[in-house]
Amino acid sequence: MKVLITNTRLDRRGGSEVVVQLLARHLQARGHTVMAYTGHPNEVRRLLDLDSVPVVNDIKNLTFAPDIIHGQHHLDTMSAIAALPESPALFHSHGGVWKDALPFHPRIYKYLAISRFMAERHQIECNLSPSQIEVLLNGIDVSKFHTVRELPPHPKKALLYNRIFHLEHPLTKTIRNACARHNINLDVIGLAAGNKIDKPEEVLPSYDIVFASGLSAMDAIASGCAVISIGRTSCGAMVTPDNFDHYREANFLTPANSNPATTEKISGELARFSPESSQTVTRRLREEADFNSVVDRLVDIYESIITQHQSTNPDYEKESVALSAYLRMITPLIKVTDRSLNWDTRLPTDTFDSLCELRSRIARVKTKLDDVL
Amino acid sequence: MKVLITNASLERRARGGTQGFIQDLARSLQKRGHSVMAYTSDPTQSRRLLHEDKIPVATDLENLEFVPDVIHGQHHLDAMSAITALPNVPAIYHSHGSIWKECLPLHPQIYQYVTVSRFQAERHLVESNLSAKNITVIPNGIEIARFPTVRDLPDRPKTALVYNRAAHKEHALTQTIETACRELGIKTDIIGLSSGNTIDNPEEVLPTYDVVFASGLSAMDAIACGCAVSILGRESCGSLVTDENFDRFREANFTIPANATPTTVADITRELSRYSADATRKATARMRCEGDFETVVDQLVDIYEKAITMHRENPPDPRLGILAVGDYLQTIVPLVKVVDDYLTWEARVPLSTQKELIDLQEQLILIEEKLKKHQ
Repeated sequence: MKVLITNTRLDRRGGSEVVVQLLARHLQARGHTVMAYTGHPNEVRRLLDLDSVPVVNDIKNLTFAPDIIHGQHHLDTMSAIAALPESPALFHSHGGVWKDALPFHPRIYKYLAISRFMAERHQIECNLSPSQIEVLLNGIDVSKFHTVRELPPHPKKALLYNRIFHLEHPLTKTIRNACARHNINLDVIGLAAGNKIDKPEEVLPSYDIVFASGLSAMDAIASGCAVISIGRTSCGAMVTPDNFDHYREANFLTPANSNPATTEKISGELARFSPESSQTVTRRLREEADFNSVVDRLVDIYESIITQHQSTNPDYEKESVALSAYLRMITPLIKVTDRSLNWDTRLPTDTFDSLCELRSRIARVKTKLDDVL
Repeated sequence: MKVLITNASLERRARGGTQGFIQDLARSLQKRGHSVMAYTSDPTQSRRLLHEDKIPVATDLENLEFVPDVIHGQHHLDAMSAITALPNVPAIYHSHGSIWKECLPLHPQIYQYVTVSRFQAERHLVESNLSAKNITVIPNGIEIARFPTVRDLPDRPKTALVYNRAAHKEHALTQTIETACRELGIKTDIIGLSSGNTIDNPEEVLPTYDVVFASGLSAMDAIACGCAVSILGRESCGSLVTDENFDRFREANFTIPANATPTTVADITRELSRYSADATRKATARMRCEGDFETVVDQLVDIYEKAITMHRENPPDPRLGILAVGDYLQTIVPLVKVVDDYLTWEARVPLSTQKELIDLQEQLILIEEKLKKHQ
């Protein structure tokens, strides 16, 4: 089978990029041909370089058309679908942000969501029938996480492992305060903290507790760590055998609009630390969430879509109308941008830096002034 | 004939530009017995220019009961939205300039491209690899009947107007023009979007000025009103329009290149010293004879009819239409991604930040001054 996987970027290690990398590797291992496509302008350091997966540059003139398009992120998916009028597609949504919104096209035969809650949201917001959308829970490459930590009776080292939390983030501070109450030392790793890592399997097993969400949380659980799920401004619970099913179904996420976490609440979760309970959680995840089972299901879905497409006559008129609806969805965004780039409303690109610098200068000058007065 | 006209925006603005053009076009086509509708996907579609003209604005392209015979596409985002929504309707694409939103989209339903100047046509030929037969130059026209009053010019000019959307008191070129006019004893006014005083009645205002600094349609309006016109660029002024250079300027849509050398006070006074009521009268006569909008509409109707016939006789392969949209998406997607990246948490700068920045800068200056006093 020839599979084209689209993704918004291929040049860094984010959740959906990891899925592309893993999926490509597993499909290749099963004898399938895989290629990737992105329309991102910063296609400089390709994540897939290391995996020998070809990245399509001239999609219209591909000498061999894919049997199926595994679409992730609507901009890239719709570009590929329009450029390859013979290939059927599925759309795999990894979250609730704009670029994960569902596009519509007669050649998209199936939608995949990574949690029950996301599937329900898409069903309601896009008027999908239950047969059009399926929950495909995330998986991880369990064999990659060969070191499983043996947890001590009392935790000593914790890690906040997430792309958005930097050292000065309010949640980071709250977590640090809670950890201090239990004499636990906290490290922070991630894009915003300026120290992202490419080999979590080597780093994670050195921590007793990891604050993380999504795939990162799964990586940490597989490494034997006790995991506390986090959201944008909040902390959820410690993952235990009792709440494992709930968290797995929710992709180990705490809802974005949860109440901000308090030191007391986090401290309460830390007090629930139990090496036995975490061991059970780790065992279940390693048994149930192996990426191989995700690929098994995906290959089944690919095959059924290909069969369905073979018995469907192309309706280019319908396709054109779907593309028009799509253009109309993205056009307002482009117009707002085009306007803001024009002379009348232009904003300096370095505003943010200037603002930070100004704030700190004011703080310095105020201190000096206080000294003088 | 049923014509759907697309445009980036249908907001009510100063006369001129593409909004002014479609208003005139719609009115003229209706007068000839054609049916006209307009389409835009502008998100700030609040005060529609076309309201006053009783032109329906299509909001649900897919379910139009009243399917157009031809799409008159302007601005690629709106044109491509309409073309793809109406896969059995032929289209022409009319480009009015060289900025991004005027770029030519390519699609098998587009039978002919129209530009407003020879230079624009040559640029599109080269940049889009079009064949010369696919592109027609139709210089802009104005509704001559709208300008019944033609100014009788005095021997020496006494009043001048800078009539342009970018002009305002602090604008460098506007200041240079004002200085030059002051030296010659000419009183100068400014009208336009940036100076906060747009007008809806150029036919009443323009004939009260001897000299008008303007470009494009605004320049044509002023010439038709009998004013001596100096063509404005972004940072420079061109010559006064006379019967001698009339053809050259008309071919260039009464514009001068955006990258022309900035003009000095001396350049403008020298040009104004060439002021001649007689030469201007001849330019006005030619404009009123050759620049009538009805001749533009004649040519457009001819192109519509050809596109409809070609489409009926040889409809394009719909599969090629889908591929064309694929190409098109590949050109606009990188732009959308840059914006999406910018709007996400990693680089988000709230719009209120600009104000905060200015407040903080002022605060800093005050505190630093206070500090200096105490040190």
